Amino acid sequence: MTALPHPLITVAVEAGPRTVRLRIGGDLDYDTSGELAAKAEACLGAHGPDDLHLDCADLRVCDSMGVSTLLLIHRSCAARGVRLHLDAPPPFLERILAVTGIRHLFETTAADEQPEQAHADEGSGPAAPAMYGLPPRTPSG
Amino acid sequence: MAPPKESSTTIIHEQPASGAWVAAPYPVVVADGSGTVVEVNAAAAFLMDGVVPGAGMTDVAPSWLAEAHADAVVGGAVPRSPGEAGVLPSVRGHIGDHSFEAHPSWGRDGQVVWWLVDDTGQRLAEAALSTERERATFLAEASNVLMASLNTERCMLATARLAARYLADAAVVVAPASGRTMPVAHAVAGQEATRALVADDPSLVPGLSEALQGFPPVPSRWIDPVTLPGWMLPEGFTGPIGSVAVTPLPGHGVPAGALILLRSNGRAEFSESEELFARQFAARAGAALSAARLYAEQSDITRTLMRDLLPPDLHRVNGVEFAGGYQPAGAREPVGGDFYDVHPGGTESEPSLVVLGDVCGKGLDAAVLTGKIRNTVQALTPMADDHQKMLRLLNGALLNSHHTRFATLVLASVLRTESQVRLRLTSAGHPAPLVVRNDGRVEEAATHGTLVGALPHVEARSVEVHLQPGETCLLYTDGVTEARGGPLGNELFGEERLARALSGCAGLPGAAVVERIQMLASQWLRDGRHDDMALVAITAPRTTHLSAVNGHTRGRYTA
Repeated sequence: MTALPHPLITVAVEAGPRTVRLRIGGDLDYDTSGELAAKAEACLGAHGPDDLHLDCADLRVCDSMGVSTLLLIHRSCAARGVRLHLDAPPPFLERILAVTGIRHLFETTAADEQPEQAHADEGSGPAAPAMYGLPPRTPSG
Repeated sequence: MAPPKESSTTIIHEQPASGAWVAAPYPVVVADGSGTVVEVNAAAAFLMDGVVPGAGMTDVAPSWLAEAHADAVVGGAVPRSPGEAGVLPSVRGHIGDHSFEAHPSWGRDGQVVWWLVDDTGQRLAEAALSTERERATFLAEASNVLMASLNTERCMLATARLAARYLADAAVVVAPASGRTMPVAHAVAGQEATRALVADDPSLVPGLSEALQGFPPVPSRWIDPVTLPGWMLPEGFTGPIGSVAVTPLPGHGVPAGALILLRSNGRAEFSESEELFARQFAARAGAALSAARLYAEQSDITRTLMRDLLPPDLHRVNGVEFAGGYQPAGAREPVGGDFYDVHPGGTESEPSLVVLGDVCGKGLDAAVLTGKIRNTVQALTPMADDHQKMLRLLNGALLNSHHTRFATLVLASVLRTESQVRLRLTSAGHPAPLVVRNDGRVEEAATHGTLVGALPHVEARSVEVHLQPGETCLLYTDGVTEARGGPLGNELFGEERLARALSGCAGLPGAAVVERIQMLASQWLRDGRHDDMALVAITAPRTTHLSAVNGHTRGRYTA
């Protein structure tokens, strides 16, 4: 799959001491989601981080299998006590997460204050993923 | 005694010639114009009993050689001098088991010298080569014929027909038993093959049950024709059977059946090379048959699954109009990841339950999950008044530790009260339903919840909506809003465009709303690829006032 001249998806791994960052670019869909799941699983196993960041700034497409993969990574992180962050989600991804009611599963870091590594004394928000409540939403009707 | 001059000539001709013949590695026979043998060398005498000088060619030589000699002396132009080359045609024939080429040349006085060259080896090699060519051609043809169809029955018939034509006088193909009967195809050379179902014990035919098991591979077996059961004989095959061979048809890990070759009495038994050839054919036929069988099994499974998974036809239930539309992503897969159902309330005062949803993934995996969800929802209809509880139970039923395949869906409990239709809508991670008012306003139902099947806990918020006569609530899947196309070819249809389109549908019957949205989405897509698209319209029917007094007071309605 990665041998294609234009890979459908690129997953770049940046591993710090306690933090692993996966930069996802391209399409996260039926054909490619397996690759992301495998990379994330491998990173969690190899580095044992406290925080896993999924950097979605260059993500172009995310279909239902992509959402399923995000849920799979979330399940894996929850089982290991790893905080899962979704960094710089594009608007379309925000919308998908809102409609499917799973936005709260991922900690958000705004694009302008991405922490590189240390999360030692983090106080912002509860540690994922204990909460399954609904985010507040205003009806548009 | 010949005159001296004559005799001297004879000596000159004969002596060196005789010596040469004696030493020649080939049998040589010299015969004169009257067909009498004049001279024979030792090799020829050894080869043909009774060929001695003085004997008549017609009496002692093989008939083909005697005839060729007669032709040569009658028709051939006798050369005027020994040096002149008189051209005579060579002939071929058998002496005993051997094949010979006889090359004639003129001797003196109109005698003909026959040189016999044994070409048995060459003949055999030629025959073997032509047989092999014929077989290679046949196998190529057989492969074409067999691979042309993935239909098990046609494949069996073709196998029997080909085998009867090339390998035997008649052939029977027996497929492994399905239930208590075995499908069988019969063929007699030169006739159309026929099929039958046979209820018999294959172990009664020696070697048949082993061949039908397919593994381990067993060699062809020769069996006594007397032991054959009656069903084995094809109709139209007359005369006693000389030899019978049972050859397994090896499949791809699954037994494909057995091939039984029958030869009538007059024909030779199967030689070793014919048996090898039969096995080569059986390997091709077995591969084709097992491919056909696997395909048949798979398409059976798909058909069985699909029968239950196709979206239902919707119609009016308990005074409420329902209309549905479904466009699967692949034209070849009528079942996809979207689904909808209407479960009618038991009485007019009980709400009907509508469910529309979208399962993640595609293909058979998605279809199976779809079936599970539809069944579970149907089983949960007794608690249709509590959507939250339904979703919790459904979520629990779908949760799986192996994967996070999920579904998003909308539940709608629908009840007609007087002329109004009351809806309770709950979205579980699904795009919220849209309501088209009679004045063209389009409202998004304020319901929101978690997708089901992937998380341990789900929550959802329901909303109540009332439809006046003529108003429609549309449930849809994101295949509609995410249809890519438009003037630039890569733009999403989107929620705003859908809402605008719906606004133009105010007051239309539900079926018309569904058709219009489907048409607009298709136009938007043009020929582009799309995801499954499902739509359900719930419409409060326009009512007919029967006894209205002033148009504002309540009358009786029919609907």
